[in-house]
Formats: sequence, structure tokens, C-alpha cells
Amino acid sequence: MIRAIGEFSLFFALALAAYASIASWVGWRIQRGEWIRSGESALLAVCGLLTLSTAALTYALVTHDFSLAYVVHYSNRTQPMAYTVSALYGGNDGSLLFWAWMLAAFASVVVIQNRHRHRDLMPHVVGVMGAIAFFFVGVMLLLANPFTRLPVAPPDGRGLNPLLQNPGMFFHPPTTYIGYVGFTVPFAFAIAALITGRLGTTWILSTRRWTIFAWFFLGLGNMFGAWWAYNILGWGGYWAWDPVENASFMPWLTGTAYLHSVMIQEKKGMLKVWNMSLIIVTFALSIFGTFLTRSGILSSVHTFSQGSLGYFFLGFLALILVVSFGLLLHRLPALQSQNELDSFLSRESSFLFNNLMLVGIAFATLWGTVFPLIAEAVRGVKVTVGPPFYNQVTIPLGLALLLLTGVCPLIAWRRASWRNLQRNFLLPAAIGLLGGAGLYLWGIRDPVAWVTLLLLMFVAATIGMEFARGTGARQQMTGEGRLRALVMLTWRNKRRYGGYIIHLGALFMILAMVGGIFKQEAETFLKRGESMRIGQYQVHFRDFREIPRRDSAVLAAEVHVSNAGKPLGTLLPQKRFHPGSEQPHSMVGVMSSPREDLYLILVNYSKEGAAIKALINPLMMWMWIGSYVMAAGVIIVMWPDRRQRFAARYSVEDRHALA
Amino acid sequence: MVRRAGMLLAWTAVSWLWAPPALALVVSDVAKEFICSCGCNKMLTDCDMQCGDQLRGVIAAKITERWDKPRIMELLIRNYGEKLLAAPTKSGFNLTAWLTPFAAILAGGVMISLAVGEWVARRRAAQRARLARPVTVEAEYLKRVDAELKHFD
Repeated sequence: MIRAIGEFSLFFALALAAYASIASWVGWRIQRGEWIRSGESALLAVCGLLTLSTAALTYALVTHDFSLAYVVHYSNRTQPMAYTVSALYGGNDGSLLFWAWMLAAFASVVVIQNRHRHRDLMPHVVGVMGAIAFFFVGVMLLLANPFTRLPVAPPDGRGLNPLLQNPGMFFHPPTTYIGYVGFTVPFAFAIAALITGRLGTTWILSTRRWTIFAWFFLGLGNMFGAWWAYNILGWGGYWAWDPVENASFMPWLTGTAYLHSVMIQEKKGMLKVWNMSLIIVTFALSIFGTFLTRSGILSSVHTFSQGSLGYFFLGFLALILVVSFGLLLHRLPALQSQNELDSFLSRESSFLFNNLMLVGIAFATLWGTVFPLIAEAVRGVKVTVGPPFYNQVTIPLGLALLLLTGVCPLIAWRRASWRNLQRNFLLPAAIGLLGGAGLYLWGIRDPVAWVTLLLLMFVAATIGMEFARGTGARQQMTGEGRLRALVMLTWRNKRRYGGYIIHLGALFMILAMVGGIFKQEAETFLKRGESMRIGQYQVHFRDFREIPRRDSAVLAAEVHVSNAGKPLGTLLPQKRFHPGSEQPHSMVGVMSSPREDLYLILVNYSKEGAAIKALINPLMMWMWIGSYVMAAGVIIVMWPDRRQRFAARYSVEDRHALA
Repeated sequence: MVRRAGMLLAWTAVSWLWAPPALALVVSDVAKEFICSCGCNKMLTDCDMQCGDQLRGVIAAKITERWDKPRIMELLIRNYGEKLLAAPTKSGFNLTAWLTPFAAILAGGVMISLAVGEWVARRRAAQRARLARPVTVEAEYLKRVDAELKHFD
């Protein structure tokens, strides 16, 4: 019954998605409003049907309906309920359903939001989103149906991969998918603008919040992934430059470039072609990520490895690029604005270089990701492109970007005078240089770490100065106290100061990356009662402990940690044995402080004792603090603002139309 | 001459200030150049599986036999193939892996510089044309706006 509801919902959703697209475009062509409205209603119905289908699969998972192959592959009776639910997106078929459901949900919100706005754009927005939903549901029904039945239902399932049974993995996939899918909205509006020729700022203003939303969730997804890798994979790192990690990093980078460069279009009407290209590329890179996970073309820990499915995505990607850039070329004359700049030394040109760096890092990442395929095709030899390549290529570019992060917000629009440069940069540059000298004397001799820290101080000083100046000016004007003036300053200029807070969060994260340069490591086999030393820590292995769990057997090493004789606590690095899984998986023991993490891995064990690997990861906590600060900045930037609401409702073009 | 001597002095100072201390070869010095051979995609320094232990054991044994780093690397590449290297070599076709991103960014930088130069020239030409027109109240007003905007950060 549940299977029938789920599968029939998918078939109906497929038909209605096709109808939504066709009705919208036909309605636009013959100028019939009822056709357009009908297309919109069909898209709302697609959302309802996919919700039903998703609910049916969730119900099948929760009730252990092992007549479905998907339920057998990704759940079992001992799995905790949270991970039984998260199995919905833990496998290939379910993740496609989840993706399509999110897409339909976002499309519905767009339809409801624009009942009385952007009526000339909406047929194409619905057309594009309907077509994308049609592709996803179609591919699912053809090659990855989550409701496929087994001839005989087994008594129990195989269970979700134990590595995925972790809070980080509960949140990582959905947040990443929301990010990927979210970019569909600005993409659909961009295509609508290209088709209709309404190429002003309307589509940008109406999708700004959607773009930030998608960008934020994609970043959040990456952070959850990083947190999971750090705490579960047990190698002491959080980013491995795996092809699929790269695939979610690239659209985030181009999305960041887009969020910056649209400011130039909003203010000066410039860079229309560039912004259009960036949003097309960002969406295409989202699909590229899906292609990588589904094709198994590159070796990655994330792959679902379904060869033929990947080629459907490759075809879809090619179609997106051909149609989008074809439309862009068609509209090129209308997009070419009368670009004028007053000076090289201006915020406009600094934004262009900021974009160059962001897109450059994205390109370097893409190049590194596909180079093994190119090398094999040209030389017939397999090569690996791993962390040493990305670190060497992206660090110089990242440092240039960091410098621009300090320069861009403070350099004057139009033309920076010598006075402006002196006024805005003398103090931060002095703080950076003095701080750099101090760090050198303190013993920081690694060139990359030294330059990065110097730049971090420079950028932090520019941000601090902006807040201090704004707060001071507000205090003078209103007589408010310092704290209130600071809060009101941020609240009244959410976009600007929220943006600075996002930059501040990024600085904290870069600080954590610098900490990685000073990582310390030691590995020793310890018998019961023996100790090892790492840094200032004394690590004392007391005994093994067995921890009963419903879904697995856990063997933990009880390790007491002290610093100069002062006890700091007990850590339990462990091995977990899941039924049906050949290899046990590690759970690390971590003791965190703002200064550093002590990170313990139970590498091996025997009757005599335990092989313990200990790492000191300096400043690691700032990675997570930075992501919280970034999230706070995004919330501030996205918080509804009366003036912005008015601007979005009545964009320049709408006001012209009303007049 | 003075400039050249200054640059030489600066280079010497930088080299001295950041001179890496000379240390004996350890396993991680070599292992950081490789990934694990078992398909886990981890760096050899980070892999805690049996295959990782085995490869690190080979490196340790060769260090004990006083082999230098290039010789140990050559042995591992010969035995396991180029794929074991964590990054492409910096020679032959593999050089394109390293150069292409920087070449693309350089090309992008040149294009942006040319475009900005052209936009600035266009702006200046427009300003010159405007200033060449007979002064009217509107032109006076525009000049004032321009002057005020220059001081507006």
C-alpha cells in the first residue's frame, strides 16, 4: 500500500512537472493568464505529491518494511530511530527523492511569494523549475526508484553505513542538498530574465535572499561534513580535497563571487554578463557535484557509484550549459552596459579582482578534480591530485583573496584618493605589520603561517575600525551608549555590517587553518598503566572499557589526560563494531579548548595494550566558532528589512511599469 | 648598483630569517608525498589501516638503511605506480596541472586590467567632452556633485 502511494505519487508528480512547464510556456506564448496560473498550481501539486512520496518512504523506513530494496539496504531493526529517518537521504535513490522534494518545496514558495509580483518572469521561472523537477523525478523512476520491491522480504536489513550514523551525517546531506537545490531559484530567475529580456536588477533583487540562503546552506553543509570528518574519520583533519568535497566547494566559491559582484550591478548597472554567467556556472557546478557522486567516475568516499545514472546527469549538465549560454549569447547586445570607471583605485575594480580570485580558486579546484581523467586520457597513466596540489595552488590565491577582503570594503567607490587610502588603511596596515613583527619575535617562523596571520590582523583591524567608526558616529548623532549604538548600527545597516560579521567568521576559520600548520603528532603502543607525552600533555592509558550500545559493540580505551601533573579529564577513544560491517570504525576522543585540541585515536588494540595516536591541533575550535559567527552574520543579512522589502516589491523596473 | 646590493641584502636577510632547520629524515617526510595504496584516498601519513602501516614500514626500513628521500620515492613509484604520489610530478605533461590555474588567473587578471583601463579611459573621455561643452547651470551643478562625490567615502 505504502509502496503504491509512494510510487504513484512519483508518476503523478512526473506528469504534473511536465504539465507545469508546458502550461507556463504555452500560457506565456499565447498570453493566457489562466494557463500560467494552471502551471503554477501544477507545481504546487508536484510539491504535495513529492511530500506524500517522501512521507511514504520515511514511513516504510520507520516501520521496517523490508519488502522495499531501499529499506533493506539502508536500515535495520537495531538502528537508532534518528538514523533510520536519515536513511531517507543516506542512499542514492532516497537522496534523489529528497532532492526533488526540496526542489518542489522551494518552487512552491517561489510561486506563493510571486502571486502578484514579477508576473512577466514567472511563466519562465515555473517552466525552468518544472523542467528540472521533471528531470529528477524521471531519472528516479527510470534508474533509481526508491520504491523497488524485492521478491522476498528478508527478516532484517543491512543497515546504514556505520560511518554515516553520526549527528554530523544526520545534518550534512540535507544542508548540502538545500544549498545545491537553493541555487535553482536564482538560476530560474536568471533564465527568465534572459528569455524575457528584462535584464535589469529585478531578477537580482528578487533572488538575493534566495542566493544567500543557498550559499549559507551549502557552506553549512560543508561545515557539518568537516565536523563529521574530524570526529569520525579519525585522521585528525577535516578537509581532504576529495573530488566530491571539491564539488560542493566550487559552487560555494562561485556563489560567493556572485554575491559580491551583484553589488556592482545594483550600484552601477555594470557586469551584467558576468553576473549572469556566474549564476549559470554556480547552478551547473551544483549539478556537476551530483554527477560526480552518481557516476563513480572518480574515486571518492562519497560516491554512490551508479554508472549509467551519472551519464544522465552529464547530459543534463551539457543541456543546461548549452541552453543557458545560448540564451546569454542571444541577449549579449542587450546585456552590454555602458561600463565606465573613474579609477583603477576604486572599490569597483577591487571587487573585480576579488571575483578573479574566487573564480580562480574554483577553477583550480575544478582543474585538480578532473586532471586525473585528462592525464589518463592523454598519457594513459593514472595520477592522483591530492592535498599537496591543492594546498600549493590555492594558498597563494587564498592569501591574495584575504588581502582583498580587507581592501574591498574600505576602499572608496568610484575613485580612492590618497587621503582616503591613508585614512582607511594606515592604522590596519600598521597593526598588521607590528603584529607580524611581534609574531616573528614570538617564534612564528613558518612563512605561510606568518603571512596569513599578518593579513588576518590587517583584515580584522579594518573590520574593527569600521565598527568603531560607525558606532562613534552614531553615538555623536544620537547620544546612545556604546553598546546600543553598536547594536543599532548593525541593525539599521544589516547588509553592510552583517557582511562584516560574515567576514569576521571567515577570519576565525582561516585562523584555525593556520593552526593546522603547527599540528603535533605522536603514536605509541601503551600497556595498561603506561603513559606517553605530547606537547605539554601526559596521556595515561588505564584500561579498556566495554560500552554496551543497542546497535553496536564498543571497545574504548580509558585514557587519563593531565598537564604538568594537573588532571584535565578522561578521554575514551573507541572502536565500534556494527553487526554486518566487516571493519570496526573509530570514534576519537577530543579535548577542546580555544588554544588547541588534544585528539586521541585508538589505532589498534590487543590483550597487552592499545596503540594510541595523539595529535595536538592548535586553534581548531576557531573553525567551529567561525562557522557560528558566519551563521550569525548571515541571519543578520537575511533578516527582513522594511526598506529592502519595499525595494524588492517595487524594483526600479516595476516602478517604471507602474508609472 | 645600490639597488642590487639592497635586494641581495634583503634576500639574505629573508633567507636567514626563514632558514629551515636541518633535521634527519623521518618517515612522515617521505609519507607526506604519498597517498595510501588501499583506495581509502587518505594521505599515507593519515591512513591507520594495515596497508598504511605496511608502506610506512617500508619507508622506515629504507631510512634505517640510510636511503635518501628521492631514492625512497623512486622505489615506491616503481613498485606502486605514479598514482601513489599525492600530487602530480612537476615535469612533462603533469606540469600543465600546476601551471594551468595560474595561467588562467594571469589571463583573467590581464583581461580585467585591460577592461578597467578601457572603462577609465571611456569615463575620462566622457568627462572631457562634458567639460568642453559651454558652461551651463547644469554643468556647474554636475561639477559640484562630482567634487562632492570625490570626498565622499
